[in-house]
Amino acid sequence: MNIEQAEVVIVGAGLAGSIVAYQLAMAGVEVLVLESGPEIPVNRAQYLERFYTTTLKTPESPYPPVTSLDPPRDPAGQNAPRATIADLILGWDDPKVSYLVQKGPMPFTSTYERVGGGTTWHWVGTCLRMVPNDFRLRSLYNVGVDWPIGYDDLQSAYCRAEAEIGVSANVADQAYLGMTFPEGYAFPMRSIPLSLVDGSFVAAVTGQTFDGLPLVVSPTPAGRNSEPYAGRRVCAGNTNCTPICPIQAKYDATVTMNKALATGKVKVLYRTVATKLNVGLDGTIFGVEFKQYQLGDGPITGFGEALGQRYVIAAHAIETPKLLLNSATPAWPKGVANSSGQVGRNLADHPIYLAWGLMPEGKAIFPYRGPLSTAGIESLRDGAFRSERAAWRIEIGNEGWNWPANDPYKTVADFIDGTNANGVNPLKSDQDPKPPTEALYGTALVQKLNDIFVRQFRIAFLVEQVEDDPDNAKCYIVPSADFKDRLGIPRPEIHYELSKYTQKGFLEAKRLATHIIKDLLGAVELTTPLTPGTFTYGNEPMSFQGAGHLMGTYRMGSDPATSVVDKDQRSWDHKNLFLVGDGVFPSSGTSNPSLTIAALSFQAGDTVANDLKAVTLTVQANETWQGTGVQINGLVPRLVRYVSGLWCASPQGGNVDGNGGSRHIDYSSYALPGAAEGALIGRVGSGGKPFLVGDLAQVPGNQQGELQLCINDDLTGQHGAGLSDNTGALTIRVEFGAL
Amino acid sequence: MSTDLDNFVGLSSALTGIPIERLAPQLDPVGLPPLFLDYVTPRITTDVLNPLLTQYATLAADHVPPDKIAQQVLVTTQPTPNSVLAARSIMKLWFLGVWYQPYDAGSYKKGDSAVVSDQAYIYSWAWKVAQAHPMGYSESFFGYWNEQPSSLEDLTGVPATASSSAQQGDRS
Repeated sequence: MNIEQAEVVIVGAGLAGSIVAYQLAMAGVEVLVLESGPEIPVNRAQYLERFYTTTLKTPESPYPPVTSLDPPRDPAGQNAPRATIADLILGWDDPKVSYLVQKGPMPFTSTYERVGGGTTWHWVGTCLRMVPNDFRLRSLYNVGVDWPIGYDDLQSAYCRAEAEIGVSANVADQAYLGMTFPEGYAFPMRSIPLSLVDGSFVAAVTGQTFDGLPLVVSPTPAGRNSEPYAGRRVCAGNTNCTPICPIQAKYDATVTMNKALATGKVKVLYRTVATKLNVGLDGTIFGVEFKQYQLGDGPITGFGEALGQRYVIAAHAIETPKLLLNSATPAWPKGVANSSGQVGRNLADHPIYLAWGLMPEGKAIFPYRGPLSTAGIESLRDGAFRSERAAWRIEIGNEGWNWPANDPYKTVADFIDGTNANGVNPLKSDQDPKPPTEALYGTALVQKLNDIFVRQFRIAFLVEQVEDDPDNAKCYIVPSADFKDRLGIPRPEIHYELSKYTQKGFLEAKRLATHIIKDLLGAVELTTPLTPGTFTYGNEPMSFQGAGHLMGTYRMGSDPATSVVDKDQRSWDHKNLFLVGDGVFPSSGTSNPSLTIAALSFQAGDTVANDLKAVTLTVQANETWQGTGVQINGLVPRLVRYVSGLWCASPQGGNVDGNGGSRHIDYSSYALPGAAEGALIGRVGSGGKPFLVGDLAQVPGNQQGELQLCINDDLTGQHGAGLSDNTGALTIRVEFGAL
Repeated sequence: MSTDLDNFVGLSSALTGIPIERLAPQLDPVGLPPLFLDYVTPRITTDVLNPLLTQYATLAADHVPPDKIAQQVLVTTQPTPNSVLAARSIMKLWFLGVWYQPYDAGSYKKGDSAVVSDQAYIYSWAWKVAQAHPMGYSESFFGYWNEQPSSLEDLTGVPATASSSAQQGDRS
């Protein structure tokens, strides 16, 4: 049995795990990461080759283990299987072909990766922030659950996430529905240009409304480079963000994990599957048991336990609760971190209403070009309607009918074989008699295909998923009692059903989709329900697609009785256990979740770093600049926080805290002339420019050296007693974090 | 005298509408035609392939226009002859880079499908017909998606129809 040790043990090397690992490493913390899948490849050529040469070009197609329809793969024979589109095609409710043991009544249609870098390998790169009202559904609309934090609490973390990911956007385009940005803020890169497809939507919907709300097309903030950034290339419009960006112009978590590894503080064990969290008598976690393998369908090659002072589970909304619930013992019969009973509950996605159409004759919009999506309609993400039905955002696609109708493949086959799988041979019309189906060849075939392809578009409504009764969720995951993977680990059993509130959101999505397609674009709508995610609301048959947004299952809250982690993502039950990723989302909101995952991961990284490395010290009133022993590296944001104590800089000023008194003296001999007398002042290095700390301040960036602190007073006694008559001291904490 | 490869390319051109010199450029570092011919031969069998090539060669020698040749090759009866099924699979191969096995032939089973090679995917013609690029293989530069693409004729050698020609200047 291997015993591995580090200060912090992280499970999962995806977006959340990589950011926490990097933050901790930069704080000087030794980190061990357990990743269930294989290592980050030196380059992406092998993944790309697998994509090029497979007929099943699903989001998972480039990544191991290889997905295949023929022969199907039995998940019981794989060491770290994951949910795939192939599973859904072969039989979503058949555990012999589906890794997820799905109990329905509806299928869960989202998928994920288990490889170094996680599912960011095939995210689209959408970096929307949540809108402020997404955080307060219950208090504003009496549905769902409020978050224990609000938009403003995430402001600085959003900025850090945007810097790490490298987001291209313009502030002016993004300041809608109450979203604010720090004064003078600019995204790391300028916005991605709109596509010609987007342009057709701008022309069609501008000035239009839906139920009294404006329809506005907004450029989508994107985690892809519009300029060279962080050593990576500019987007070349490969139209392949999902499944794989060939040139890594789109951020993925391997970027951050590679930086983490470069610190020398982080070690990753790949093909190492966490199987159980062990809890000590005092309620703290004392180890993570794991099993190791070399080949995806080979034997177990090792097992062991990873020991640390803090534990961070970053395995998203399915694998994290699976691990917690699989860790049940007689002492913790409901599983780890589950005194609330909420672990595994409220599984959510952004189920997608997918609609597509063909622009009018003569109206080419040239899809299959550019990033998969460059714009959306975001103006309907919030409104009074949220008390009645789910909100959504609309993503405008640049990839024609690739998603809804597997083009160019099916339309090519239709016009060669004389079939009509895609509804364009003939295009449905009022013509009577109906035109015949054609089997074309030669130049007429090329011209017909061209005429169809250049007019294709699709739109996707990402619908908020809200339980009708969030405390008795219909969507949840438990470990299967019947089905295991090759390592003998019980697989996730999924129960899934869209609430009436969410289904009503679909109905409105359908109504608007048809209005946009037929009335505003003047196009022919070809939307039809797609299996397996079908349902009927009222008399309307509809279908939903998975967004790959796995949310819920270990939600954050302010009440230990109804939530799994607190606002710092710390387990209520185990003080040294942190659960990160979008599993903490109490409600799914209306933005793609990755940016918020990243922002929350920065905050979790701060909290864990502060647990281990925050420095508490005393600053004397009667001494000039005092070294703290804290080295500022200019890369990791640091906070200086007043904790307690009073000091006195002059009889007139009296006893004051870090904010100082009411007197402001402008003598040059003061630590910070013009600031409040008696205030706490800081500087980085002996030559650093002094800054006001008060009771809380962030150390200014881009400076390196020791943090020094002192009282704001006449340091050299040029104008009186100077420091000699000072009394008292303040207790100060130097933390990790940003304001 | 034309070779099997010449006839295969000529037949492919007649069926797909893509000019011969584009399917098989004189300087051709990619080399799909011999790859495709080798690939399809055992799969459609010489019993079907050879008559197809002969039919093409004969009609071409008689200066029958390509579209007329394709029409004759694709003349169908019920049930659809294997030669027509094979011709359609050859067309899809050029457009999509994917081989769809048209009928059982030895160990090759009807309905099997495979991407012949990465190059077959990257240089498949459906993308140029869409005035685009294969998903995952762009040779263009940042922001090109905000601009009009090259014309269908530039990309494929086939002029657009009258209605789609009108589209080329429409940027709204």
